[in-house]
Amino acid sequence: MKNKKQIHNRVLEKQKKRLLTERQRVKDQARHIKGFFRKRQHPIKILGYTSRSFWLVLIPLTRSLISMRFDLATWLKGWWLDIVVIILIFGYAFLRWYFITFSIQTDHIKTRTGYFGLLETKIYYSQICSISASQGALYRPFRAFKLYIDTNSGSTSSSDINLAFKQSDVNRLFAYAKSEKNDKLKFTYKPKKASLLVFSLLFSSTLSGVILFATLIIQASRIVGRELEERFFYTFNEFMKTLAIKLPRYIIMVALVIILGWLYSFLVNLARHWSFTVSRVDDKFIIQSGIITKRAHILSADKINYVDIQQSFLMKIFNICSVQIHCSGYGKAKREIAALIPISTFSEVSSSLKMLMPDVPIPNIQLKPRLRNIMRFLWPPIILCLSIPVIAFVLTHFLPDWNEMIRFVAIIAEIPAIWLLIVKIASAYTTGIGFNDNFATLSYCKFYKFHNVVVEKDKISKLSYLQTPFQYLKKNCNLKFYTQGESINCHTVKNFPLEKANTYLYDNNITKI
Amino acid sequence: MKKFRPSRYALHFLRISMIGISVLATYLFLRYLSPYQILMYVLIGLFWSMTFLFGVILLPIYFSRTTYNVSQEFVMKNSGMIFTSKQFMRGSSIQYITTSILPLSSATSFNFIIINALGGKMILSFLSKSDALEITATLNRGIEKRR
Repeated sequence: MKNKKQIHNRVLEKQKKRLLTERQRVKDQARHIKGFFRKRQHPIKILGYTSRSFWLVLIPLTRSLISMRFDLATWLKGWWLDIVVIILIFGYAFLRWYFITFSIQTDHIKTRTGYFGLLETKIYYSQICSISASQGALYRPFRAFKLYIDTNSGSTSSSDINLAFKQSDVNRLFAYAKSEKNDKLKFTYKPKKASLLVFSLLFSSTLSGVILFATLIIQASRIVGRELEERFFYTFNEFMKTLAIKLPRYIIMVALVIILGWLYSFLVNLARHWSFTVSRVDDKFIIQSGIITKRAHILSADKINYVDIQQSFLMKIFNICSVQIHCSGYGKAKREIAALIPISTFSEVSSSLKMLMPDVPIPNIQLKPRLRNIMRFLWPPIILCLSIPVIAFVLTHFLPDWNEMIRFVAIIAEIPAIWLLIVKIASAYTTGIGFNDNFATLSYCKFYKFHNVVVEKDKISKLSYLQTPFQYLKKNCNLKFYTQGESINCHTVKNFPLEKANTYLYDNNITKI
Repeated sequence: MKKFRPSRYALHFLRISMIGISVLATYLFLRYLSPYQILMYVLIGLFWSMTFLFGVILLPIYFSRTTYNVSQEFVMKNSGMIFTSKQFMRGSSIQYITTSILPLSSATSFNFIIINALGGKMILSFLSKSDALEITATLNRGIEKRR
């Protein structure tokens, strides 16, 4: 009896052990699979690594499968070469995805990038200037994010690290990078929707809109075929016919292109900056914006190279301005504006800046150019204004058939030239520099835009004096301030009396060795 | 501060590769360019003279003149074949390090370190695997200390 019991117990134990090892094996497998995905990017990135031709081949292939009513055998026989090409493209994309790995630690992020993951990069959070995460409409259903990490080094046109992250990885990285403490004060600034509308309105560029619109049409026609392009031009022609106004066709066309381009740029800008919020927590800025593509940025306050308070002439009249910052990585994406306060009245901006950047006192302008030298600001736009009619006159003389068009283009071109002249008159009164203990204010006008740059004195890496022959005679000079960062930025402040500028800069420890 | 030099294995590997390429090129020229004898001999001569120039003169000069002095405070690189150059980089300006260790690097010493700093980068090439790892660790410790 005893023996039987012992045998029975042994069998039970063996069964238990087998069950446990089986469970352990399943657990290990699950852990292995988890580990495989944990250190790799979101699988959606595989699609990102495929080329554009992948889609160009895939669409007709799918279309043919549908037209063959899913007769796989015939489909494979007829389209085998295209299928092989697709498998090769996809295989290459998969291998790229497979070899790119990363690990997020408490004080650094380590990545293996490049072909076969040969480049190992380790970036400490203390060196990071900005971490940006964006989630487009395509990535949202898959809970994936595009992540960009940037330091004050590396390429000026692309980020140091550019990966597709899962939501959990983004959260983990943001938590480590923010190192947020509960007792730290948090100040949040959220502009009104009306302000964002005005901001998008003012910062929309016709040129970029036209480029964007053209790119959209070209890309769409590449994928869908020429149908869309033809339909667009057909609709355009029909629209032209319905216009009963006796205007030359090209004038309507130019006007339409300008209006459509500007409208498109406006909508893109609005979608990008909708629900914009900026928060200051400890030494970090957290900026969130976007409606279709949602974006979040974490910026290190001490890594901000300078603050740029920008105004156009119209904004100056209405006493409104936009605050932008120069920080590596922020504003690097296509058509991204590095806004801190998108748009607001001057008084509101000052009070918000005091809360957002309490450690940056803005110095007042102390050194200004002499007003009797105002013509030094005005000569370039005056020459521009006069040259347009002269060029138009010469062209009409040589091309009499194009008379009407040349006159039209000349009138159109004269408007911005006169506007530039008005802007430059205003700039003669606003240009100047000012210093306090640690900071400098550089107020200048570049083309149509007025800049008020507030920069830490230590971040001015170079200063150069420049004199044209006329300035040499009048003992004036232009000052070029270079600021450090990922790229070199130059701020040119014009027409200072040389001697005064020399003494002022020396007194403020800029030129003192 | 510690002084490092590019590994001799890399020099040997480069020489062997160049000889291999020249042998292959000679074979291809002999096979396909035999109707154009002058062109064939010119190309073969060009390949072998380049192999000789780089393998016997230029690369040994480059390998013997190149040194890297590395500490947490600064990095100094001496290099050049005909004209020598000295590059200094302050440790405090280093932002991050990228290391590239190629497969079979213990035999070929094709290991590279890219030091990304404010306003530029410095590349330390042809290091032995152990040297590459040691330099990376030293510089990363320097960055860590600055936090």
